[in-house]
Formats: sequence, structure tokens, C-alpha cells
Amino acid sequence: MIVLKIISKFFKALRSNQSPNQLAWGFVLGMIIGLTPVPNVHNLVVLVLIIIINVNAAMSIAAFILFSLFAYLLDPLFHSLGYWLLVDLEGLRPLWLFVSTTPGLALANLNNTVVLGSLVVALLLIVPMYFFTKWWVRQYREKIDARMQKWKIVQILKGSKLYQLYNKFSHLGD
Amino acid sequence: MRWKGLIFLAVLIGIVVALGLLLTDKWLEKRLESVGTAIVGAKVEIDRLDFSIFGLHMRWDSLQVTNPKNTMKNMLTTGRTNFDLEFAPLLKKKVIIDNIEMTNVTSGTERTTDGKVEKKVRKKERKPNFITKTIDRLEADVAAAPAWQLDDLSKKVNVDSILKFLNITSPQKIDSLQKNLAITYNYWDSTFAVVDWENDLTYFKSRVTAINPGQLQTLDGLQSAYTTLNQIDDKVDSLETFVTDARSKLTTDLNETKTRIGQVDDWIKNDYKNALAQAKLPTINKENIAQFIFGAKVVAQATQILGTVNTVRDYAEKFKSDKPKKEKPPRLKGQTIYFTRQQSLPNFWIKNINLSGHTTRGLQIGGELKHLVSNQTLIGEPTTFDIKGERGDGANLNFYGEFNYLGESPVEKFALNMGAMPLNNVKLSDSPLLPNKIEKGLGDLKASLHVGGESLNSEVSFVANKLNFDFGENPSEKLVDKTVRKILSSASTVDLDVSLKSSDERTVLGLDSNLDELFARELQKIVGEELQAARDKIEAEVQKQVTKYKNEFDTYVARQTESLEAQMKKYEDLLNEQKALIETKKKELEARIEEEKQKAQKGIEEEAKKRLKGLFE
Repeated sequence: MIVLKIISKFFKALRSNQSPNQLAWGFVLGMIIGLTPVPNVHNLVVLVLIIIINVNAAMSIAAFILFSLFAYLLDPLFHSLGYWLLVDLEGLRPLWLFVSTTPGLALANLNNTVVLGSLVVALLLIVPMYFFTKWWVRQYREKIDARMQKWKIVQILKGSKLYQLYNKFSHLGD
Repeated sequence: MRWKGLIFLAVLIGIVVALGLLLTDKWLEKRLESVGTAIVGAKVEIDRLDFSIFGLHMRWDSLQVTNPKNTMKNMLTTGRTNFDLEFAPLLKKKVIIDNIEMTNVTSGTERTTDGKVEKKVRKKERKPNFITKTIDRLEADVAAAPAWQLDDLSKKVNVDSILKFLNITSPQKIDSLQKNLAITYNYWDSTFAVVDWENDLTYFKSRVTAINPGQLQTLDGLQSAYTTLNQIDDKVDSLETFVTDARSKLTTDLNETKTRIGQVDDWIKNDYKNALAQAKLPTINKENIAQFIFGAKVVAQATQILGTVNTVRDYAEKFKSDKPKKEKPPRLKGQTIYFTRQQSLPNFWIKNINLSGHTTRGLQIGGELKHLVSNQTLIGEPTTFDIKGERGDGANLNFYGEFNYLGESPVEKFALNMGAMPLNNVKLSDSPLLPNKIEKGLGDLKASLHVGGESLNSEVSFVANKLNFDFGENPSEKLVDKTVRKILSSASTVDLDVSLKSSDERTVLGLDSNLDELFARELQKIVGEELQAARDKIEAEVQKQVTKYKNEFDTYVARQTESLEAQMKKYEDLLNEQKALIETKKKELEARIEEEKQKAQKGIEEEAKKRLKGLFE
């Protein structure tokens, strides 16, 4: 039921009146949480941002689920990147020393190879992913949605008892 | 900005804080227990942990650390423990504690439940170093020690049961060698079958025999026969090259087989040696007795201490280096790299632990542990502990230890002195030679261990005085048991000196006790002859099992060698005979040619005389 709800909310968000900007930012913020290990201070900041600024939360959840899978697969790469930045790049040592010994910042766990490696990748992906999501949302609204509605599988799903049951009760949670 | 979101966030924070206040203690307790369990390898349990988030004050009512080697006993237990965490360093993710008050500390107490970890704790794979090598060598020595069952020693040694499990490998090896040698022998058999030397030589012989110098009347005929003989001689010479070459190769091959055959005796010797090792028949001498009585216990203690030293070294190294080697952590866990600035605080530092408690034998102990720290170089102090204990009757204890990682090489030092320790109900060893508890007695122990870099040196001296052993109400009447009782009754003192030296290359454990000679002498009288007879029987059985194969093998090798040698000799004899025949024929022809030449010369001279005679008449 939860999975169905997330999928439904995701497509609803795509077809809603929210701007592609809001959807793209929601997706990008969800991507950061998904790519990096969850129990870390920076993710708390990202979570607060998702809650208080006007971004689409459904897109964040979808991105979180999607990128968590990538994070699991790419973990060795993140570890290697983090190790390279923390240990091999001698020039960055003063930075890591500063990060590790500054009150508050030290709690960010940036001296962990996977946290740093995945965060760097997430930060690098923010801009391209933001523009890509915006472009994709537009494409979806203009071309893909109309075509998708005609797909047999969508019509079967919409006609299914499960979907009707979900539709009947879904508003109760709103 | 989403106002609904802000309200939701405020509510969320409220819930988290409330849950935190309610559940932090339980969460922290479980977390500390799981970290401790992972480090120790057996259950670590904390009772009623209380953490005040505002005052950063922590306390627990009791802590139990299970002994991983005996999970029904605790390695350490403490009573109420109190300490404060410093706030400012926490913001830098550093845990600094000024002082911990630990009361009611005990060691070796019985557990009510088994402290074994049900789920397998994932142990970090360590690279072998000199400490792990030392532990492995000591444990291997104990494992390889003969298994003495005194009950069995007092009976006849059951050689038949030992013989059932003998694993004699010589017959298989001999069989395999025979198959290998067969390849060489077959090669020569097929070589001799292919070559046509015998026919060639017979043919040459028939041609040489056909030349009969007596029947040849003309010089031309004789010279033509001589040329034919030379041609045959050339052919025989070239055949001789082949035969000589074959002889040389055959000799090399047969010599090689002789070398390989020489291994067979070594295999049989090894089989006997292995059979004795399998039977684990003890050799009764002074050194073996000491190892038998005290070896296992000494090694168990030594490996436990060395294991701890190794773990501490491992952690010290991890925190010391900000250029650690790349690890392979579990997914999504990563590897934490510790960055430290000189004169900054270490990541973890308990400046002082004051502890007080008692031992299981009622000794009141007290002491302190100083500078339990993640990186000693940042504070310039080693980690030390100093524990003292005493009891009203004069028993005393002094235990000092130092973990020093300030220099290039790690150094650990320990010194333990125990004086006038009552030994009532103490069992000095689990060996059957010391089966009884001490009823009364006093013990003095001096032990030191110095581990510096890649070497260690330890000396232990233990003396037990005024001993009285408890032999029970119905002591066994078996001969060996009676002998043990006789020895122990006469010994009012037991002393033991242990010396352990180890480096990366070798480990030497020396054990010396006053019981060694006493036991060696008495046991030799009882079971020495029996053991020698058992050894002889095992040797005879090994010989019996192997002899049949060895004899068959020797016969096979002798037969094959003889056959090949005979074949080769036949060719050589034929060749030599042929060469001699040719030589004889050559001489005969040469004589005949000379004779014909002279005859011809004489004819010419007579003819010339005839002609000249007519001319002058």
C-alpha cells in the first residue's frame, strides 16, 4: 500500500500544478539523502530543507528510494573517492584537519570515506540532476503523460479493485 | 517557506527530544554493550545505565565483562560507576572524561548465565605479526604435546588400538615409484626391441667369415677382399658408436633409479616416526614432565595476555596514524580517518579511573588506571595501571602495567607480585599428575613481561610453600595414582620457573619445576619399559606392513636391471667378437698379400736371371 501510495503521489506530483523547479529541487534534495549514509548531520539539514521550503516531498521520497539503490551499488567507488580525498590528496589535509577539529563541524562525520565520497558525488550531481529533472518534468507533462494514460497497463491498473480501494481511502490520510 | 512544514518540524523535534529523554539510556546501554561485546568476543552487560543529557553525567549500577575463554565466568565486574563527560570536546566529536569512580571491582566471578555470544561476532582479520606468531607457536606446542592418560599408562599400553589408526604411506609411495621406474625400463625394452644390432652384427660376421685368404690366389683378389673388410670395419665402428652411446645412457638411467630407490628407506623411517607421533607416546624425561604439568596452563595465560596486548596495539596504531592503509569496510560503513593536530585533544581520553574492589579470594584491592587514550602522542603520557591489594593475614598483591606508544616502537611492561597468597582449594594444574587440590599452603609469585617492538621477554617465578594436598576420602589404589600421591605427600614445596622469549623468528618457552625430576624418575620406573615395548611393537608393525611391498619392489628392480644389463652386454660381446674377427682377418689378408707380393717379386727375379743368363753366354 505504501509503495502504491508513493508511486501514485509521484505521478500526481508530476501532473500537479507545482512548478518544475519545485519538483526538481525536491528530487535533488532526495537524491542527496539517498546517495549518502542516512544517519549523518548533513542529511538532517537536507531533511529540514525539504520540510520547510516549498519543494515536492513526493519527488524527494522517490529520489531517496532510487538513489539509495545506487548508493549501495556504488559504495566501493564512494569509499575509494573518499579515501583518495582524505588520505592521498596531501594538499587537502589542512582542510580535513580544520573540519575534524572545528566544534560542530566535526560531528558531520566528513572524515569517513563513504560519507565524504558520496557527499562529494551528490554535490557534483546537484546542478546536472536539477536541470535534467526540470527538462524531464516538462517532457513528461507535454508528451509522455498523454501517451502513458493510453497505455493498457495504466488502464488495467486504474480499473483494478486495488486502485479503486486505494482511491476511496487515500484522501483519509490527507 | 512552508508554514505547515515548520509546525511539522517543531512537532517532530518535540517528539525526538521526548523520545530521546525516554529512550537514550536504553539505547546507549545497548550500544555500549554491543560495542563492548564486539571488542571482547563475549557478552558485555551493563545494568541500569543512566545518562543525564543536560549534566552529561553517566552512571551504571553494574558492568559484567565475560571471560571469552570461559564464558561461565566474568573477566571483570564493577559495581556502581560514575563519571562526567566534558561538553566542549563533544562538539568536536571527542570524548574526554576527567575521572571515573569504579567501585566493587572484582575478577573471576561466576556468571549466572552463559556469556557466550550466540551470534558470531565478526572478528577483524589481522595480519600476522610477531605477537600472533608467538601465540600460534605456543598453541602449536601444546597441541603437539603427547596426550598422557595416566589411567592408560598404569595399564598396558594398548598398541593394537593405536595400530588400527596407523596411516602408513610407504606402500603407496613404493607403488608410485615402481610405476615411474617402469617407464624407464619400458623405454629401454622398446629401444632394444627396435634396434637391429644383433642382425647387423650377424650379417657382418657372415660376410667376414666368407672371406677366406687361403683360397684367394691372386694379389688383386686379396686386395679387393681387404678393401671389403675395411668397409665392414667402418660399419662396425659406426655401430660401436651407437652401442657405446646407449651403454652410457643406460648407465645414467640405472644410476638415477638407484638414487630414487634410496628414498624408500627414508619413507619407511618417516612412517615409523609418524606412527609414533600419531600414537603420542610420551617420552618420560624432566623437560616433558614440566611441560605436561604446567605447559597448558602457562600457555593459556600467556596467550590471553598477548592477545590483549595485540588488540591494544592494534587500536593504538589505528588512532595514531592519519595515513592508514585502505581497509575493506562493510557496505555503507566506510573507513574513518582520524586527523589530529599537535596539542589538540585526542578523540578519546579517560584521564583517570579510580577503582576499588576485591578478588574472589577476599583480597581488598584498589588502584588507578591513568590516561586511557586514543593517541598517547597528543598528551605525551603512556597508559598505566597500578593495582595494589592486601588482606589481614598478610597476603598481598601488586600489579603494575604500562602501554607505551610514545616512541617509534610500541612497548608494554607488566609486573605482578603476589606474596603469601593462601592456596587453600587451589588446583595448580589441570594435569593428571597434579590431580588434587591443595588443602593448605602459601604461594609467592613474581612475574614480569616486557614486550618491546618485535620481541618479548617474560620471567615467572612461583613458589608454593607449606603444602598439604587433599587426596580425598577414598584415594585410588592404581599404581600410578599411588606414585603421584607418594611424590606429592613428600613434597612440601612446589616451585616453577617459567621463561618465555620470543621474536619474529622463534619462540622459546622454558619450564622448570622441582617436581620434574621426582616425577620423571618414578614414572620411568613404572611405565618406561612398557612404553619402549609399545614403540618396538609399532616399529615391527610398520616393518611388517611395508616389507612385503619393499621386497616385491626390490625383486622387480633387480630383475629389470639384470635383464637390461644382460641385453646390453650381449650386444657389447657381439660387437667385440666381431671387431676381433675383423682384426684377425685383416692380419691374415695382410700376410697373404705380403706372401703374394714376395712370390711375385721372386718370379720376376728368376725371370730376369733367366734373361740375363742368355745375354752373357
